[in-house]
Amino acid sequence: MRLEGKIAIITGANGEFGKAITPGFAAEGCDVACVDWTQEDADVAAAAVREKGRRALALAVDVRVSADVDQMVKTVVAEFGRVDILVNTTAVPHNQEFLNFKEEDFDDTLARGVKSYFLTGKAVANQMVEQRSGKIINLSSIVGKLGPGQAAAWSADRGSVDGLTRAMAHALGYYGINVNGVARGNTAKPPFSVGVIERLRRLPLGRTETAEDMVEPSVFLASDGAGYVTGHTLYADGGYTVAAVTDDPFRPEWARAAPEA
Amino acid sequence: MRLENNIAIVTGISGLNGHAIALGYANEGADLVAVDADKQKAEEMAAEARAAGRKALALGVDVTNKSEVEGMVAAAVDEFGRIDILVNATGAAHNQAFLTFDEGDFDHCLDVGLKAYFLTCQAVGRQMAEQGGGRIINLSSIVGRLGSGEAAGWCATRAGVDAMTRAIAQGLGYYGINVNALVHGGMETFAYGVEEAAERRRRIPFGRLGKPQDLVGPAIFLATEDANFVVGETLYVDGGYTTAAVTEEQFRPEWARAEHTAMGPRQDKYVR
Repeated sequence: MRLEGKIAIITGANGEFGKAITPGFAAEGCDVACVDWTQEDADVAAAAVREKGRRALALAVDVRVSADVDQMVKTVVAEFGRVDILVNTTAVPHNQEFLNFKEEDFDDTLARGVKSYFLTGKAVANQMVEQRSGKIINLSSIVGKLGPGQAAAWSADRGSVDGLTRAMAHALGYYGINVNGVARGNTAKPPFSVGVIERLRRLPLGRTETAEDMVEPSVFLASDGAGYVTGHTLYADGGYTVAAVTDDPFRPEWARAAPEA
Repeated sequence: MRLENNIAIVTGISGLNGHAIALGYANEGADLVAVDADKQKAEEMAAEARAAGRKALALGVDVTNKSEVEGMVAAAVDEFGRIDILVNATGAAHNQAFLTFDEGDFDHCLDVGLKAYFLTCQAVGRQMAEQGGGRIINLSSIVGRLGSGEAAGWCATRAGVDAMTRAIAQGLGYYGINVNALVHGGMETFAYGVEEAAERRRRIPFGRLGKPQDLVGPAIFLATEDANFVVGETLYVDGGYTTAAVTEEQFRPEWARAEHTAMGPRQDKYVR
């Protein structure tokens, strides 16, 4: 129970990764304020926390709006007395071909991503500095480091999140607050597109990511054991960002390219 | 004259770095579209380019506004028939304490330093795609890689630029358009306190912070055919700062030790 007695706020609590991280934290003894865009999603997340025997709040918050975010922190502190952990997971890629990429979608990606992480990070940090302790974890992605042609907004957003993580780590370290990122890989499920099959060739583990793969790295970064890790983005990507293609003769036979059709 | 017959758009020319690059391009034979939010500054830049013997067009443009950016491209093409090079050099840091960082300032950072690059890359990219090629250089900063406590907005912005440069490089590469980032470090022109400046200089063996002129050669390189297979790269022109750790005293030449470097620029024969 590495997060025993901790109070966490998790945004996107019923989202692709929130769905796994939220009960994952509860299973480690954490009470969770489950934040999502809709009350319905927040309720689903809160139910999963209570199912693990922990306390939960279900809050629908527009994390793009600073007044709503400030109220969110007040509500959590009123209920639980403190905030030990913030996990930001909201993200909307809007992948499109670059030359026709819509301006409003670019704006939307940044607003729901890095801008919301700035607002929640600042509001929660102001609470954490009173406590002189805290852990902030920003979900990131391989696209912060590698650029797909359809991901101008997604790369801009996740790259910005990585930069914000580093700046916040340096602003808040003085107060005993650690700020880190955890970067996801590709979570495609079969049937796989040509692009995913290409990606799998670079993943020796031979599979795409599941949401569960992000739980332990996030728990680690939220735990006391990660006290000297800060300003870092931990890649849970199956080795993708550091992979080149391994030529067939150097692969086990079962990992080689299929014969040409 | 490595940029002869090239038409270059440079944004943010009222900044020292944008200005140096624009002038450097003019001195290498490029004709210039000088762009700034301040039309007066754009006119002054154009005049400097003409004094260097080039043709120049001055445009006052809000690069955070999509229709103004499209107007910028139309005006440039109207004047010169094509665009060979785009340099994005706009940005605002708004450095302040994180805990009370103003939301409007954060928004402005992302708007003028990241979104603006998205808009110009897209509008100029469309034109370059029709031409069958071009080169785009996004000015960035070491704060894209290193985190400074007072620079939440600036770090988010320039880290976003670095990552977005890679994605746009992939998106536009199919059309023969080369997109890279050019990264400056701490500059002599910044208003650092004496101690901060000294700390930074301690990590730069050459013993000085950057000058706008340091960016000119790399900017020219990225704009020429020599950089044909350099794609989606972040070229660091920071005197080694981002890859430096502190070198212990006993491993420095005597004249580079703390008592000689603590206050003010040091005088030594290896300063370039």
